[in-house]
Amino acid sequence: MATVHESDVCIIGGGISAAMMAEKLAELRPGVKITVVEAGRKIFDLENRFKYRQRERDYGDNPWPKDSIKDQVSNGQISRTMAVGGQALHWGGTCNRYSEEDLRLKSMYGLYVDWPMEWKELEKYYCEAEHRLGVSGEPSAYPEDWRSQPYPMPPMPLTYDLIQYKKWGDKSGYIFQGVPQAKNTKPWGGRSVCLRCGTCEICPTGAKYSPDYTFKDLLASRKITLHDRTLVRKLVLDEQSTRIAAAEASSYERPDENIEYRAGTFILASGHIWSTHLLLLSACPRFPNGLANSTDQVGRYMNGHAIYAAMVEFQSDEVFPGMNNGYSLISRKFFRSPVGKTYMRHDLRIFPGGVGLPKLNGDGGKLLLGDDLLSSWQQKQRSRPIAFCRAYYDIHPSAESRLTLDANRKNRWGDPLPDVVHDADAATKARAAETRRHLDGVFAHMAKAGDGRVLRHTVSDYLDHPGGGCRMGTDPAASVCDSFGRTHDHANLFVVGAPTIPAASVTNGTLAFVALTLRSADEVARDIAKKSA
Amino acid sequence: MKRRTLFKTAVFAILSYTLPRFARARAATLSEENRELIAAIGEVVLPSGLGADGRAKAVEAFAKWLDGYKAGVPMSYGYGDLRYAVVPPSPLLRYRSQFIRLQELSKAKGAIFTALSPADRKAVVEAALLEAKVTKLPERPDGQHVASDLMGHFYSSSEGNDFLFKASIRVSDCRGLDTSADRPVSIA
Repeated sequence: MATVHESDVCIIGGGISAAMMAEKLAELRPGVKITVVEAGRKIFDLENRFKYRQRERDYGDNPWPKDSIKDQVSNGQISRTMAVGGQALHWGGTCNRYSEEDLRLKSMYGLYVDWPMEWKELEKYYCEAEHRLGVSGEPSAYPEDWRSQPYPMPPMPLTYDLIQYKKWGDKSGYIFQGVPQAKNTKPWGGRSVCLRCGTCEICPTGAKYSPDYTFKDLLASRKITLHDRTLVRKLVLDEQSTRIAAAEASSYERPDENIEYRAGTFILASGHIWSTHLLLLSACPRFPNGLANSTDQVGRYMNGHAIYAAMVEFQSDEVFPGMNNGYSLISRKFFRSPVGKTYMRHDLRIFPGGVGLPKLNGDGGKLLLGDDLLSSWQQKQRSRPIAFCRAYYDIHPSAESRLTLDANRKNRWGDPLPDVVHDADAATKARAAETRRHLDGVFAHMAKAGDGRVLRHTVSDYLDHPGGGCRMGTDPAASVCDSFGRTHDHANLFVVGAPTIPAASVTNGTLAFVALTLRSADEVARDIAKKSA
Repeated sequence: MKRRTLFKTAVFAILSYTLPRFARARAATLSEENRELIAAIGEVVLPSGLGADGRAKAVEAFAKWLDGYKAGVPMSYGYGDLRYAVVPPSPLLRYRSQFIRLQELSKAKGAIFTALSPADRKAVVEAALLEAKVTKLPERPDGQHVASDLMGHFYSSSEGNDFLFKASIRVSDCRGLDTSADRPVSIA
């Protein structure tokens, strides 16, 4: 016998998309019964975060204790966090927007696919996302990045240090600005103003948005039920239709108990890996390849942007590293690619370099101690600051960029775990060398503008801000869900946020995931209204 | 299982669980004698510009850091890092033999380490660092050598950063936004 929980809406996953979906649905349809099920645990302890921050600074302790589950990890994922709040517990809070080109790759450049929605429509939800998260920022200096509403909060002031870096960056002709961030520059959402602690991965003041606050508020006002430490392991089809009837789950606290969630609407909000994984795990005789997968699209087009970076030394007035480590500069100069030339889109960021400890060995390998060590550092460090320059550049996935089930790796209940292998499409591979040459040129140009030099380049071995696996589209043969995240195969099953994006643009994705989720919430609310009419 | 066997098994299990932890806890405590030794090291490896008080504070902060060390707790992780790493054993465990070696090298110069002249102490520390094959300062003490750990701890600290830049940057503080754009106040 299973323990049965019934609700109108069952949200599976407890990260930022789940938080936004639950919050908006509770506002649009008050009285609707919403249950959120999350595999990880609640970490609602703002009061401990100063202590955790200090421990991390001093000793490297994990500032989010027990924020993951050892036997629930995917090959190819970039963060193992599994807790109420998800990866946005420790995100940097950067809230860059994609640009219109991302949605029109096929029609503008003949590449990959267009998104099944207009930029104007997405932009509206970007504004809502910025309002709900509480984003501080200044409008882009590039007019193509138009916005229909101002940022909710004024931008974070640049530090003295960043002002020096910006002076140098602007000399290159690329206009740099502070990144927009989900950090309060005035009291917002019942949370305080940023105190510039410089440890945004564990914000001790609550000035940076993270979804635990939303969940805490929703629970306090009894608008949702939250079951944490509970892993949904299978979605079950209705016997008479293609609707989803239930979600079967197991509790980490009571592993022998069978739990079943029944709801009118099911929303997968578990991120690109675990949402996709659950659909594949839910194979049944009528959908032998997994739910929502009648056309074999689930798990395909896994995406993310590639990373190329350079350490650049330049001439400047004095800089003072450490003034606000959570803040950096962005130029949106290369968000657009001229039509008719090789496609080339990327963002461009400047992060102040670190301090660099004094070198123990002086010239000739002589060991330096005391004043000798200090004077050697002073001679080398002070005159030429170092910047970490980074570009996220656009790559498009092939159909073989996939998440599959790995029969050799299983969790404690015997469920096969996900395995993610990324693969770029032919056009991306064909322009790879030219992309690298272009980026080398950009970094060299920046160095020259600062009368400096590129010290070294870095290629990262993973794709950042990943998504995909349940790509949205209008054609069921080439996508899993429509632009609202409603799966083509199951009218009452939605996938929201990161899994639905066709490609990952050239900059941080969280704001886009939230915007898409808020748009999905409108559709779910309309559905609920229709049912009750 | 016989009652006696059960009792023996239980006692063995309890001791094997508690003793290593007890030993670790004891090992991770800095004695007064060792504290003085580290202070004497500080006098020759930390910059004179700190003054006696500044050096004493740096040594005290290092000792406090060692006292607060918790081996075995899960470590922080960044994007792309799926390893479950734990905080390694306290560097203090490796210092014991280093203290002995420092005294051996000191004896060759005719006195215990703390009684040597600053020049001789510096020579002893240099020899010890070379023996330990230390080539760079650690960002966080790692036990390779107590002298390099002391220097690394100081220069990585907020106070060390301020000292290097002769400015009140206060990396470890929450400083508010109002003064963000200001040049950090100079420190004499």
